[in-house]
Amino acid sequence: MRSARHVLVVEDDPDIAELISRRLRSLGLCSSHVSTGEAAILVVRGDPPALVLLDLLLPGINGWDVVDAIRSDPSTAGIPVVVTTMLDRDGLEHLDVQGFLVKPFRALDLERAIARVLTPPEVPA
Amino acid sequence: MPHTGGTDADRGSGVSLASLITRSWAAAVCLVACCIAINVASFELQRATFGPRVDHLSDARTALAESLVARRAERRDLGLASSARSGTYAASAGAEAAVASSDEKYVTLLAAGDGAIARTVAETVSSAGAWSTSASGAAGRGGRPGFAGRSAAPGSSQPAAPSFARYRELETRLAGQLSAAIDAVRARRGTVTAAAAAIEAALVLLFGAGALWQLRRMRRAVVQPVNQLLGAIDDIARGVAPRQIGVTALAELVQLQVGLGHMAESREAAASQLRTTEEQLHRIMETASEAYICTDANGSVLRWNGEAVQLLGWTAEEALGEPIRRLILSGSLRDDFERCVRMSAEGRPRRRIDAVVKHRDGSDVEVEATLWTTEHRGKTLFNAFLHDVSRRRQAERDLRLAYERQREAADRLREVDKIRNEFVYTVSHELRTPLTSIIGYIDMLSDGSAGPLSDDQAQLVAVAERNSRRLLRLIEDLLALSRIEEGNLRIDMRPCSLNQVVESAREAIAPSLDARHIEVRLELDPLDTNADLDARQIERVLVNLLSNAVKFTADGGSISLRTAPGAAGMELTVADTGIGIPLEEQRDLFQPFFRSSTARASAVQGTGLGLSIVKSIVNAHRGTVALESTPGVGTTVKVCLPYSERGSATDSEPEERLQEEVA
Repeated sequence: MRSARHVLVVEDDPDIAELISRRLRSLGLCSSHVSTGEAAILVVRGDPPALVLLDLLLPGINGWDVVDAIRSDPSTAGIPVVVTTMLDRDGLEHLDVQGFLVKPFRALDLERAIARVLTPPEVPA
Repeated sequence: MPHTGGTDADRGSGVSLASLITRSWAAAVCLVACCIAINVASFELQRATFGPRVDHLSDARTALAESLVARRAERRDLGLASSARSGTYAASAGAEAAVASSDEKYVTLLAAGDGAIARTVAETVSSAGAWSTSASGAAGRGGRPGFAGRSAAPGSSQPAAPSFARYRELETRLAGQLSAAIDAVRARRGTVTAAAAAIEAALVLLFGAGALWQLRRMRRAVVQPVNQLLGAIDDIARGVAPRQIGVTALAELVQLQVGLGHMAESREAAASQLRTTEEQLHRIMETASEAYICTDANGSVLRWNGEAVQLLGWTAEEALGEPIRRLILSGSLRDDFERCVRMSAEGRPRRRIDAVVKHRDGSDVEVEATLWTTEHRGKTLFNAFLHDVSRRRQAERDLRLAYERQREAADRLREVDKIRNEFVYTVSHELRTPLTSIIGYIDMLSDGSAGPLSDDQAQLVAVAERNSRRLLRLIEDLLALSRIEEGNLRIDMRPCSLNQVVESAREAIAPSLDARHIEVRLELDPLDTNADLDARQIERVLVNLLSNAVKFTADGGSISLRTAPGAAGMELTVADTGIGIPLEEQRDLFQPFFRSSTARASAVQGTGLGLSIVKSIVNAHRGTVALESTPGVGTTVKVCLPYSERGSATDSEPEERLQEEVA
């Protein structure tokens, strides 16, 4: 069992995934990475993380479907999701997620987004 | 004897009743006339022939009777005379003269009458004369007294005075013969009368026979045909060919028959047409692709076509006569059947309903039913077309379900596909991905995550960072422009402080001013009036304008930023002392990708998108943008944004701003 501060990064570009992981590490969080939506759904169900950082534009099933899958499964419905995207926020109001990050984002933005979602005691200042 | 007219052999004509009656009347009239004629003739005959003769004979008898009286008188006289024989001859002579005149009378009378009697009478007279002779002879002998000879009848010999007794005998005989003659004449007259009567009787009998015979013919001509016609009407009613009447029928009845024949024909034609129509209808119903059911007012099935068999599972034999409730009705349709019954009584005959009926095997069949009522021979019938819509319903349901489930996915897919299909989007996505890494890793370098940097290193990294952000801005410009071109740019208008936007913009371009010696002056509206604007977009506008100003102004120049309330709206002015743009090119400046000759000449980097983006955004704000420029002196761009409609600035909730990349 991982600790509660485990973050799942769903990102198809490996460099960006590495970038995010590094950032998370510097924030004191563990992370694991999958590069497809299907894998993300499996992992979320099998080993629920504290947060999912989800790229919307994925090959195969896209980020929306992943959000649906997470939300429709009672065991995973409560997991916070922050999506990373290059899109404008305009089309994404209906998405049941807890934060948006527009790529390219700065370290500060990532930090702020995570801070909003994970309760402060879990995020070391 | 008058005959009633003969009949013709062909049916077209017959004995006309009118002619029959006419003929009968004629016959009767003839009969009467004949009888009258006969009577008149017989009377005439009698009068002409027998009458006078009888009168003559009667007169003769009367004369004879007178004669006898005279004779008796004579005799008396003679007797007297004889008694007084001693008397005179003169008395007897007088008596004889009387007798002789009397005889003459006879002869005269009877000469005109019957020949035989006359002869007899003549004979008698002559005998009487003889008697007279003999009498006188006798007298002469002194016997009985006789008559004196009298003057003989003209032509006859002069007889002697006969003996009275013989005379009397002759007279008696003559009287007898006269009477007999009279009786004979009378008898003959009676015979004639009888004959006439007999003839009349015969005539009447004949007439009667003729009438009877005619009646019989009439019976043949009328009664039988009438019965046959009645039978023919029955035939027509029953639908068979009408029987024929006899050829001896009355002409009127024959015509009636002809008329009946026509009626039968047209009825047959109509019936045949009706049969054809019914067959056709039956065929149509049988082969119709709709199930057709007809029931009476109680619900007993009267018609059940082929499609009904297919749809509901009951064969026609099984269904006919069965109550419809038992067969197929359940729930809703049962109620509707009742309603249909009620409605037909109210006169609203037709409706269309959706219903669920039962198949023979118990399963449900969804149908669309069209119900209507008809009248047939005073009875109400209920009709229905049943259209199987189960497939359609199921498809509708599936579709709805699928639609609900897939709607969001479809929206999503649409969005994603739109994005993916867009070249610009694709490109920008592709460009941004590596750029994200570049910026991210450079960030990590510059904030010391990989260890502290030397000043040199920091400087190098700074350059890399600056340019990567520039690249990013370019990509975003491209994206924005493409969205603007598509009309997809969403403007989120709120009352905002223009001054704040200016500040943000200035911050954004600050890095580009680092190495440059350009003065940036801000002259901001002290009132900080709000205008209706989308802060992000206007910030982009300012950033673009400022970037241009920075790019095209040489070191030592200055840029001024001014906000001020104007007549039409908030005015935003960006002025520089840069290279300017020739007049003839100023109009084209706002076209996408247009780059002024001066810019190209100066090898200033740019995409030519900046101003077109500015214009599009300003237009979306219902604002205006104007440019003035003098080559070598500078350029001034003025943007006017309409005021907020809402008066004073409202405290809008701070949007959760995206963490956009701001330089």
